[in-house]
Amino acid sequence: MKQQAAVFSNSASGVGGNANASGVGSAGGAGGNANAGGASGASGVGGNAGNAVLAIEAQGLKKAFKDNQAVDGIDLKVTQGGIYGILGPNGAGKTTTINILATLMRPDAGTAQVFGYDVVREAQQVRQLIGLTGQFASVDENLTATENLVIFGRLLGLSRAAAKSKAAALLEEFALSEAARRPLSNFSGGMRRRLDLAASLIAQPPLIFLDEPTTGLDPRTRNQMWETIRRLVREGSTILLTTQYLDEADQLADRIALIDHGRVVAEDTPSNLKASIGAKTLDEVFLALTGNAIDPLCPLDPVNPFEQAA
Amino acid sequence: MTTMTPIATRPVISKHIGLGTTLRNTLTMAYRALLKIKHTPDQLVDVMLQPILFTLMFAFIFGGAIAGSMGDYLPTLIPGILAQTVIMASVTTGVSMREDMEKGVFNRFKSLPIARIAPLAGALITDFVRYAIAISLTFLMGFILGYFPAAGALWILGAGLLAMLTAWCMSWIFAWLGLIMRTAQSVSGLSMMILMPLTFLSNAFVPVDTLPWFLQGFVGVNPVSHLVAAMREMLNFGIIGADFWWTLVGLAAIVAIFAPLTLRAYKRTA
Repeated sequence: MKQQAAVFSNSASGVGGNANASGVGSAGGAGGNANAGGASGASGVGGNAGNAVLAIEAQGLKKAFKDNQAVDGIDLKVTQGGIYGILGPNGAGKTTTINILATLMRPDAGTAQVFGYDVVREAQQVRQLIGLTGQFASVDENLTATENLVIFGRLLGLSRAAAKSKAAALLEEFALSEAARRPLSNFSGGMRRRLDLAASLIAQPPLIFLDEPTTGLDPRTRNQMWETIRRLVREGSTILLTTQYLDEADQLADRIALIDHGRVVAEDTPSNLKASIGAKTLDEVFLALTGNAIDPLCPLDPVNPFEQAA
Repeated sequence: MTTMTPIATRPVISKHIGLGTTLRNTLTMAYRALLKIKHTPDQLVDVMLQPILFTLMFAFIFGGAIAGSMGDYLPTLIPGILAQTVIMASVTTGVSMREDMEKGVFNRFKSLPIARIAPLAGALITDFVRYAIAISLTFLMGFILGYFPAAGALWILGAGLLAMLTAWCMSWIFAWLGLIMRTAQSVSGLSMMILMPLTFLSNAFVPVDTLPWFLQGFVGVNPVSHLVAAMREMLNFGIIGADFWWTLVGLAAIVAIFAPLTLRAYKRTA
């Protein structure tokens, strides 16, 4: 966790207090100790009550593009640790919600906090606590994998040497070492996604946004991605993940918000959601709540094609 | 990796980004732009081909007609080509800015705790490399054709610096256009439409007294004319005249107008 400490103290030039990985200042009079005995992060949900600040809290978020109300009053409460899934069809407002929470967009109405920091007024602090992997590869096409990671590392305040070794370590971890010196134009979709995720992890942020991390990936690559995501959670990160794949939400998420037309239509653990409707699959839940199938136009779900039939 | 413990209260983080961090972020972004040039050197083609082609074409085609011989035309022509080259090169800032923003990587920059201005400032710095290449090539073409500025090496350096400064100041205009226009293509299209008449309706290539009176009026106030005249005085006679100061005044005015506009547009989008 040294890297994160380095990032924090470097980029927040002048504030020395916060070199602690958990972000709970041992200096600066922040006082309270992390509830170390609490959630290990593996199970995440429920285990993490008590005095921990919420990873994400959003109230009444709204955002419109011209006459399209993309987000229409979304409330979210995401506790630390674990994976929180936002599941909904294309155009339900998933990406817009993430963009607001990741400080890329200002909401028209409503407020949101990340670890207690307001995403509009305190965007600069929020940015030090998050990593974002967008739906579209947010890496530089013209550069090599290593160069991409080194540049992000340098921007986050690492020294040249630290940025290089961090880049090498991440490439190794994501099985990209062999392609490290190749320009991205030769990368496959899966490799790009992995690099994209690796770039979000340089600062080891406590909260990671993954916007449809496996859309368009083949089943094998998708499984690898799932493994990576689970490992991040085991290491204590909180993950907010959007997906239009039912099985992905079902397999990964500890809690799920079902959203449709910019609103949360239901929010609970996957098993509770199913139990409440008496349904076998999340799609049945969604169908019962909204009258629509989540993914009617995508029968090619590679992992569990049968779910789509519902 | 070790395991993170949950965060009990909101962590203590500074909101402020200091000057040192801003500078470091800017240099990193400049480094990134340099790497891009290294990997796709073809983006330098416009900067490199233009001085070569235009110098050759104008010298051989118009040299005899305008000045009696090619050799006599070069002292007039090379400063004109210099001005045209750096002004055209300054367009690239806006175009590449727009291209960058259309890509996903810009979203990541926006989500990082870095100085907001760094991507823009970095691009503006790297462009100096472009300008230096373009200016050196123009002088080199002059040497090859037999033009050795009478004022000597120091004045060549001085005129080169003035050209570079001009390009940098002009690049604010195109950075602004790059920010407010929708596509990279429309930026380069519009820029060409402004710049072609501006460079040709000047004293850059032809003696002004051959022009009809209504064009002479325009050429007289065209800032490009002042730049060209200033560089001719520097290179051929080793003097700094009124045109030099008028050029500086014009450049200062451009920066005074377009830097705030650019920064405002940039803040809104980035």
